[in-house]
Formats: sequence, C-alpha cells, structure tokens
Amino acid sequence: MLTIRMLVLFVHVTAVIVALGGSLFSTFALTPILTGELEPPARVKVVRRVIRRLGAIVLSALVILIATGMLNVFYLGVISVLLAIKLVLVVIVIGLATYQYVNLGARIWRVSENGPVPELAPLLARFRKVGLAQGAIVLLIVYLSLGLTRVMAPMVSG
Amino acid sequence: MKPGVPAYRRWLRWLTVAAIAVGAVSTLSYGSGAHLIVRYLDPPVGRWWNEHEYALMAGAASALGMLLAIRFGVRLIDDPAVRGRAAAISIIAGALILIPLAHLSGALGRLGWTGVGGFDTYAMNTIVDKVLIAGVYFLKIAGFGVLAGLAMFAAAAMAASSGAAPRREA
Repeated sequence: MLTIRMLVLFVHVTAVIVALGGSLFSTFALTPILTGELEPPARVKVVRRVIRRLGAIVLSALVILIATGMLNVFYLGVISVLLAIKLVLVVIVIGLATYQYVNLGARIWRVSENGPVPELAPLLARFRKVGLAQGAIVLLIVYLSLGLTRVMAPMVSG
Repeated sequence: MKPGVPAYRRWLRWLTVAAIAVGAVSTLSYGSGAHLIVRYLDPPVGRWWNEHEYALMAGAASALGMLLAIRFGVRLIDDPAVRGRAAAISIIAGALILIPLAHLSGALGRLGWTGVGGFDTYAMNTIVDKVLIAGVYFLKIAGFGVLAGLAMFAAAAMAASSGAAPRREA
C-alpha cells in the first residue's frame, strides 16, 4: 500500500487541495467577510498580505503539482489525448497563476502601500476574475483526471 | 546587440539559439545515424559523439522547453526589475535541474499514445522515419520542458517579487 507511486499520488492530490482550496477560501470566504467586517484601510492591509502569502502557497503547490504530475505520467506509462489536453490546461493555469500573483498581486502590493486608493478596486476585481477563471480550469482538470484514471486503469492493469 | 537590451534577454536569446542548434544537430544525427560519418573521419570523436548525441538531444530539448517557458513567463510580469531577477533565478535553477529533467522527460517522451508505441518501435524504421520519430521525440521532451520551466519560473517570479518589497507593514 505504501509505495513510492502512492506517495507521489498522495503529494500530487494534496498539492491540488492546497492550491485550489486556498484560492476558493480566499475568494468565497475571506474576501466577503473582510469586506463586511473591516474598514477600508484595515481591509487593504489584510488583503495585500493575504495575496502575497497565498501567492507563495499557490505557486509552490503548483511546482509540487508539476513535479509529482510528471512522475505520475511516468508511473502511468501512457500518454493519451485526454492527458495531452490536461497538460495544455495545466500550462494555462500556471500562466494565469503567475499573472495573477506575480503581476496583479505585485501591482496590488505597490498601489496599496499607503492604504486604499481608487486604482486598487479595478486591480482587485481583475485579480478575482483571473482567480475564478483559474479555479474553473482547475476543476476541469480535476474532472479530466478522474476520466483519465477511469480510462487508464483497465489499460494499465490489463 | 542593442545597448538598451537587458542582460537577461541577451542570455535568454543566446541560450535559446544554442539549444535549437544543439538540438537540431543531435536530433538529425541521432535519427540518421550520422555518427558513422564522424567515426569514419575521426574514430575517437565519432565514438564520443555516438555516446553523447542522445544525451545532447534530450538535454537540448529540455533546455529549449524551459527557455521557451521562461521567455513566455517574463512577458507576464509587469515590473522590469522583478522580470530580470525572475529570469536570472530561473536560468540558474533550470541549469541545476536540467540533467534530471532531461532523464525524466526522455522517459516520458518514449511513451506512445496507447502506452505501447512511441519510441519503442524506433529500431525497425527507415532513416527518414527515424529522423521524423526522433524529431517528434525531441518535441515531446521540449513539451515537458515547457511544463517544468513554467512551474519553475512561477516559483522564481514569486521569490523575486517577494524580495522586491518589505515583508512586513511599517
């Protein structure tokens, strides 16, 4: 039961949970509560710190995802069309995540240095949109992965 | 070279050209068995080339993939200082992971669409087929290189971006 293959798969799935869960928590739980409970100056202080920390967590999780994902393909021993589509979507997700946290996140960090300013709202809105798009693609990837395991299992075992 | 071009862009350009050149020569040579010609002209050099052409092909493909990913990633960053730092960190990190990545991507590139084809039937084909198969193999390795390079660049960009600003509020 405890094989390297299982361990790699476990780390892979954990990385997905961390990356997707962190983004979903921030978008659907933390941000609405902060908007309702905190005054703009305090809210901006918290939001910019959350974005920076979440960026480090999500991007690190993506690195682990890619490393373990490549090992998973190796253990699977098959490259199918479904897998190729999944890999293309993964490239798009990494591009979006990099844009979201390194470009938009850094701009939010710079703009909000002295508290709330008018330029901040559109940046935060775009940050949220990119995050949602990314989350949707990740869910599609998860769905494809389920399909992949269903299709590949008989091929690999038989 | 234009005077205003940042150093990292010059490095990226030269490394990309080098990866394409090494990749093209080694792939063509590997596919066509051209080491025989080199062996005929200079046996020790020919033997060395025959022993290393596959490693050069896989290494060049992985490097090309990572470099393309870094070039794409750089365009996603707004701040020129962060862009330069992220590119520099990525190039160094890429050089460090190149050999293991080339091994892994080489193994992944051998997998066919059904899991039984791919590179396994290579020996049975004609020279033209072999060159084509080697070319596709090169592109598959480069594809995995893009994937790894993008992830590496994302982490490098985050690290470069975090270093650009104070960690704590004043």
